[in-house]
Amino acid sequence: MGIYTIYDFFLLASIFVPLFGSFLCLVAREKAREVWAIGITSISFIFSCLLIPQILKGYTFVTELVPLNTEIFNLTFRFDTIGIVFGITFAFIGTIALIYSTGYIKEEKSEYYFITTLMIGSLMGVTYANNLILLYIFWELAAFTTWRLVGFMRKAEFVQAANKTFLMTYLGSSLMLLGFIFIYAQKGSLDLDLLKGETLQHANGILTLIFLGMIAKSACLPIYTWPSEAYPAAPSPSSAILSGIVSKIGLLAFARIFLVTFHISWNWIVVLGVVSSIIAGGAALLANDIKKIIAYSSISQIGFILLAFSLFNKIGMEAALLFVIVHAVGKAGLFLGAGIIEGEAGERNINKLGGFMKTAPVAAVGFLFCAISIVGFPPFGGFWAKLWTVLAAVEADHPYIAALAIFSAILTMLYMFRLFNGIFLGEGPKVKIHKIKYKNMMSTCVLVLGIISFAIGIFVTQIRQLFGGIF
Amino acid sequence: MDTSILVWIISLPFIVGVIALLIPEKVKGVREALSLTVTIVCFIMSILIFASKELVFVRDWIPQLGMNFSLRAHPLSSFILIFIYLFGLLMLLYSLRFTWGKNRPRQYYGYILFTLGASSGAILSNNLIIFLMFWGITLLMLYGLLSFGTSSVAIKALYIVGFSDFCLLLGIVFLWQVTGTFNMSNINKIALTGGLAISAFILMMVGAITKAGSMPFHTWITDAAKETPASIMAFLPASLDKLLGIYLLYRICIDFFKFMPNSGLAILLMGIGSFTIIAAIMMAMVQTEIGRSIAYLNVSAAGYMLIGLATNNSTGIIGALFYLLSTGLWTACLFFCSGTVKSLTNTTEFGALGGLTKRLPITFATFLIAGLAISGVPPLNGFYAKWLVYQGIIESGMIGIGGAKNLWILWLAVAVFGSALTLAAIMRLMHGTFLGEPRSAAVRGKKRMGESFTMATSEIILAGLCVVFGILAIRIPIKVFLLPAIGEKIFFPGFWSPGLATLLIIIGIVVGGIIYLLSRVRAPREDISFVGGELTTPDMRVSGDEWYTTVKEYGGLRSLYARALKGAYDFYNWGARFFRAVAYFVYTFGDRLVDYLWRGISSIGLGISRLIRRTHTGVLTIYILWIVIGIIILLIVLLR
Repeated sequence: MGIYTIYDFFLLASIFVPLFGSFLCLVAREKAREVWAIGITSISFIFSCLLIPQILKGYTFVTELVPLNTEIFNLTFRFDTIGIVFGITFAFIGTIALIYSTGYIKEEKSEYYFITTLMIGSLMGVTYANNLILLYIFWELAAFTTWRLVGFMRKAEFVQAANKTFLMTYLGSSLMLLGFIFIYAQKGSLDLDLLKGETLQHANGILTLIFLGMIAKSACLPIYTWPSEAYPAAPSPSSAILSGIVSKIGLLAFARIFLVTFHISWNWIVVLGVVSSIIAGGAALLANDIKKIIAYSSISQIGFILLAFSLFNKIGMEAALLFVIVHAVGKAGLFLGAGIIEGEAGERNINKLGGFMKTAPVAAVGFLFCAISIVGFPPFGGFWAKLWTVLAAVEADHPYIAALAIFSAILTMLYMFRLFNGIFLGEGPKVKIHKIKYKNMMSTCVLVLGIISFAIGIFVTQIRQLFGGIF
Repeated sequence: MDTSILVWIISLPFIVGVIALLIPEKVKGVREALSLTVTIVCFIMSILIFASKELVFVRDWIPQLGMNFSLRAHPLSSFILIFIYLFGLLMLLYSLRFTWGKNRPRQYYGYILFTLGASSGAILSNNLIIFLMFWGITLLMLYGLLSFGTSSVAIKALYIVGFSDFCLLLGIVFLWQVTGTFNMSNINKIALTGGLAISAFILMMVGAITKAGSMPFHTWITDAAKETPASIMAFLPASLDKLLGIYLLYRICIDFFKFMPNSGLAILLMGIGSFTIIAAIMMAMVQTEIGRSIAYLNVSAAGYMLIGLATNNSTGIIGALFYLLSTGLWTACLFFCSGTVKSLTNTTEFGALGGLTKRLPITFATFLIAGLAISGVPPLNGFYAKWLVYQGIIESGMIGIGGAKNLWILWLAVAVFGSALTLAAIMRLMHGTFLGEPRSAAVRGKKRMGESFTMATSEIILAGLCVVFGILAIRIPIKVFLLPAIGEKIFFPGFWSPGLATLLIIIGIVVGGIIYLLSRVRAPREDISFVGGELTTPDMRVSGDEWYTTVKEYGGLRSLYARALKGAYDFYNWGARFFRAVAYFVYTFGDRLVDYLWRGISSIGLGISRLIRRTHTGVLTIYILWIVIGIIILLIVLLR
């Protein structure tokens, strides 16, 4: 490893600028702090975007920050299709959520921006890390920041939810670390490049341990009971980040480690994904709290994405990657929209809301677009993702799984439009409307996400070109 | 002809729709003019497309997955296209002066144009995925348009049709697995053997019949009928959705699959069709409001089309398609008339109407013609459409094996009986709306109510088409549109000849008139009614329509009706209950149980730590004890 190319620089900068830049948020003054936070995440986004031409040429590379030349730990980062898809999504959603936060967050600002940018940096690290220990370090950094953000409001029940989140994800990640140790014991290395295509002894046992870590982070059956408490507890922009992007890193690790490195997927993961999706969908149908519905919806859609990945064929991979983008954008839009309504109404129970189309029309359109996209009606982005998932399931000879996936999609339709109708349509508003200071700016954020959900569906062929070299 | 015309006819309405959404609300007239212009242009284009037999347009899109942007105009699709734009045109013409529910004109015109574009896209697409995409857009527009009425109906429609769309999606994917292609012209007569093919057929059929508004997926139409503006009802459930749904059903039954008459699936379809005819018409008879009554008539019509297609012989199929066109014409006409009545009297309840014959003469006349057409009175189009369906049913009884083929008698009896009841329902509708003395003071006060010119024009055009398509049934619709559509040259129409029959009917009327004039009929004497020594005033007169509702009191039907009117047989309520039950089940035994287990694990952890805490109580002696124990263990280990 000698000279850095400009692309190495882009890659490293997109990780380390938010990671180290976050500390300045602690000391910067009012206003400058917000600008700085948005600036460093958008730099991360721009640098990731600048790498797109490389991926379209089918070019991937591995870069090293400082050569350490140890067996177990190297500061190596890889640049490939999966990384770029997740990386751009993470940085983009992070930027939008931070812009929204400037109108939403009113107290403890320095801590908030520090934690959030640190989290985005750590997520970029997870995305590009090429060494399993490096990945684990960023992973735990993300867990720590999650714990802080969930309990940000400091109420007793919120702190409890934060503790639950941390404990459950930590339980998973400690098992994952155990799996990494077993791999090291066998192969003498933890670099994904060197491990690629290797066959492990007792692969099922070791990889199951790692898998438990992933699903703890991504909230899939059976380690999935934390998001329904954590997301409603967190401030809305944080919920958007948690649900939209933090919950994706388990899926990212699944794609990286299982599919790309060891070429392994099991049929029971397929079943697990779809069952998890249906269970969370049913729970969402019964919930009345806006944010709780969206939180359960996240679990449901993540089950869907896991299903798409675990089918382990080309359509399934493309479906899953597209779904990651669609879901991140859509779910972030829903949480941000919910934040506006919560601020206006001071109430989150959909039975007591209604008629907010009149007071928040811009947010309503954005919210509706995001909801339609998540449900999967054409021509929105979610349609293609769900269609390809079902195609992949049928192609892999699982027609029953495909039928269950459609059932889950129908559940999604039911609770999503129940949510939209409950908040925006009908008589009302029946509650007292509070004035929000930066409503236009916040509504615009939601609308932008809604329009992007729509645009993904229209430009699906162009997006699909990114997925050219998955394997 | 340049094949890009296929792209233009789809994209023009979308482009103008976006413009209509963007024009500010204050600017009046431009939006209407633009929409009308683009619809006329598209209507002309659709005629050009129809004239040029077959056009194919293909662009690569996602070729790796077999998804190409491929459009194909063939006689079936292009004649349906003509009717889509015809209905669109009349609807926009009617909307010019129609004010009910047009509080958001930008969205109104935008959604209508999007619907037109998406429907033509669905009809023209030759790739199942493109088809599904346009089909889905029509659903979203339906949600948007129905929200001009009430949001609870809009969401009900979205749930029902969305459910069926997801079924359709799954069916298409299954079909893809069986055939390996999404290209519609490559899918030809797949044998209906094996679970995958049969499930594909049934799932796609659910998608088609839901769009066509057949039972049991019809309840949103009847619920929407009262509150939703009549123009929207005439546009979507009455005409466009029927065209789309029956088009898809045709493609499934006739093109994609080798669908055998009198097979199990055919009996299923026949059964759904005949149940729809009877059940819907029974409900239509007891409604107390114009919109719901027409909506039930419209649902009942879907049954005839299902039966016609299920016969799978050319007479039955032509009958179904002819019925499709005719239904669009008369239901749209009836809805337009009901819209006129509502906008002038501000009510659609039978109890507050009546006495409108002279006050709304054009509306009454067109309503009468459309009503007679729907009841199948010769020589109007409804009679011939029914005739063809009956012929088709009889023909289907001649082929096939086993006892199933004898069922044709049942289907025929149901169809004929349903037709008779339709007349009864129409009579009640006429009575309730137009005939008799005015039952409200508002109507009584006026001598004439001004019918708007544009609204009356659309009604007259539709009623006129009902007459023309009846008298010239064979010459215009069948020879021009339907025979090329199903690709047959020869046509055996039975012994009914509409031209001759019309002539005979006219001769009969003329002869009757002559006899009337020649004989000495005394002028009728008008006098005040005298009942039991009491003079009657207008409000004491009873309209004839109440008589029809006595069907509710018949012994066997009483409880059925009572429950049906309360919505006990609403498939939607059953579905909602089912999904809620599933949700409770998975929530309790999935979500809560797992959470409970994790809480259990955590309390076990806490319990263990509590035990260990007992050993650290802060009492010095216990610590000394631990140190001693530790040293002993160390010694044992080291000195072993």
